[in-house]
Amino acid sequence: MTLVRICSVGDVPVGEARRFEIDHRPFAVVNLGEEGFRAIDAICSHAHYFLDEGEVEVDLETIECPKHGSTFDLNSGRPRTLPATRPVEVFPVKVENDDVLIEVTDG
Amino acid sequence: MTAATTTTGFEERALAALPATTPFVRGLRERAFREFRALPIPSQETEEWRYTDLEELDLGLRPFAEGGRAETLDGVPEDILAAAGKVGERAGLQIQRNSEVLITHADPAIAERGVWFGDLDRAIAERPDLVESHLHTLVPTGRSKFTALHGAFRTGGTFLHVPKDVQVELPLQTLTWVDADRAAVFPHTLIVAEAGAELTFIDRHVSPGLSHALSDAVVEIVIGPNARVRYVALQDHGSGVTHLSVTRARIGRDAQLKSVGVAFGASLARAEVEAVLAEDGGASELLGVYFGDGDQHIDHRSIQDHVGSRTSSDLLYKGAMRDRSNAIYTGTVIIEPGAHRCDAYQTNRNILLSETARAHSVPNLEILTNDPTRCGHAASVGPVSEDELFYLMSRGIPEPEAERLIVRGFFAEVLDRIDLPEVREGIEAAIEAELARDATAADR
Repeated sequence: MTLVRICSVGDVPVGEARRFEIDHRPFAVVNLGEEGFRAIDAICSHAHYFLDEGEVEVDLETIECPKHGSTFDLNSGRPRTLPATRPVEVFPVKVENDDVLIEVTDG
Repeated sequence: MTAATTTTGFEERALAALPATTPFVRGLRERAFREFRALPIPSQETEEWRYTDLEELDLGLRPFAEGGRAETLDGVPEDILAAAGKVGERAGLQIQRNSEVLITHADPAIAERGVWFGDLDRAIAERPDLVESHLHTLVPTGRSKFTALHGAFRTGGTFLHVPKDVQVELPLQTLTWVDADRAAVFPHTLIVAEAGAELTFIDRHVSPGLSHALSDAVVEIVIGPNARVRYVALQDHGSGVTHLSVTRARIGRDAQLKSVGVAFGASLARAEVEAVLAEDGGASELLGVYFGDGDQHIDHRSIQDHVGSRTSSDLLYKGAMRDRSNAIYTGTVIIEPGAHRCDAYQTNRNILLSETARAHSVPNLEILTNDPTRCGHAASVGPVSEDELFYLMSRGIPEPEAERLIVRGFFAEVLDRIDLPEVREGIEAAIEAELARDATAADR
């Protein structure tokens, strides 16, 4: 596992998500304000749509797919509503100074 | 969420203990219950049940097994979500667990176009105008002891209504998951496609291995003039489950039904599929794939009933049997009096992968008119071709791999006609899994 810088703290407004790529793989970084940052696979497990374009629910710590409305738990990656039935991958996040780092598998 | 015992056996008090419903369904339940008590267990002395013995079927089962209701997927176990299979884009998805609908999702965009998709019990309560005129009209409760049992004790199920000229591009799907041991569940799918409507529906029946359970399913498909319906039934129950299903479609003028029936699971599986080409110009394509192992008994029965003129039907069922498994296919093409210039064909082919596997194929034609364009059938049962095996082995392919290649090729004829990629890929993966399984380990 390697910690990789993915963006700056200021790149993602509170209550929103933004998409960044590492080695051409897209990640959605979500800013939950006092609860910190979360990072998940940017692509919905159900159909090929970007989750960062969906709505973030800060209190519930979920993000909603903009296409079909499945919501995903930002801590476990598990879908909370249909039509998605499979989880998206979640990645441990660390904030160091102004940098948001995520832990990704080597290779 | 754990399934709990409520009552045991199909008695009057069990009927009274079912969840409350409308007066229409109460009347239907009471009538069906009387029919259930009056009708005998289907006998092997009748032609319809000649090859399948239900005399010993243990009916000491719970007629209602709780499945729970969920607002979110938080309480839905992983194995149920995994059983939904590879779920691509869907216009709607419903999960029924045992006797209850657990959760439903319908794309708001289809609801805006007037499509109704969801729990059949909810539909009966909310839209009796759409349901009551169709429920149990194609498959009457009095058809057999098991359709009567279904009519008496059904809860849950799926209702799909697509209004006139509305095309639903994405498939809709219901997963019926049975994990209550010694329970009977009664999945019911009622599909109504009004004139010019188009839809694709996937009915998935899955369970883990159980000591004993009964899945007694009914599917009714009403297809209006010029409508197009694609219906896929995927059955992958675990060992110990008896799955009995009756699917009957009424195809209107110039309408079309394309159906795919897949049977991989259950200890005993019987699927009756009937396409009634009720009006002129209708067409049906019935495809089937089955793979048996262990002591599985898989019985398919089809009817292609041509009532209207210039109607066409084509059936292709293919199965592979291994170990001590047993397959039966009985199909009848009927060209009714007054149905002119009809085109009908049925083909059933079986490949036997062990010396102890068995398959019976009984195609029938009942041509009651004198001018069919074409009407025919073909059937075969046999082991893997020695010549084909020799050919592949002479080119350096080991025998087990050569046999797998031949089986893949055998199924390709039917799989190539399935125009839903994710369904085709799912069946291909299931066939690969069956082929990869050590034959000696299979003990259904």
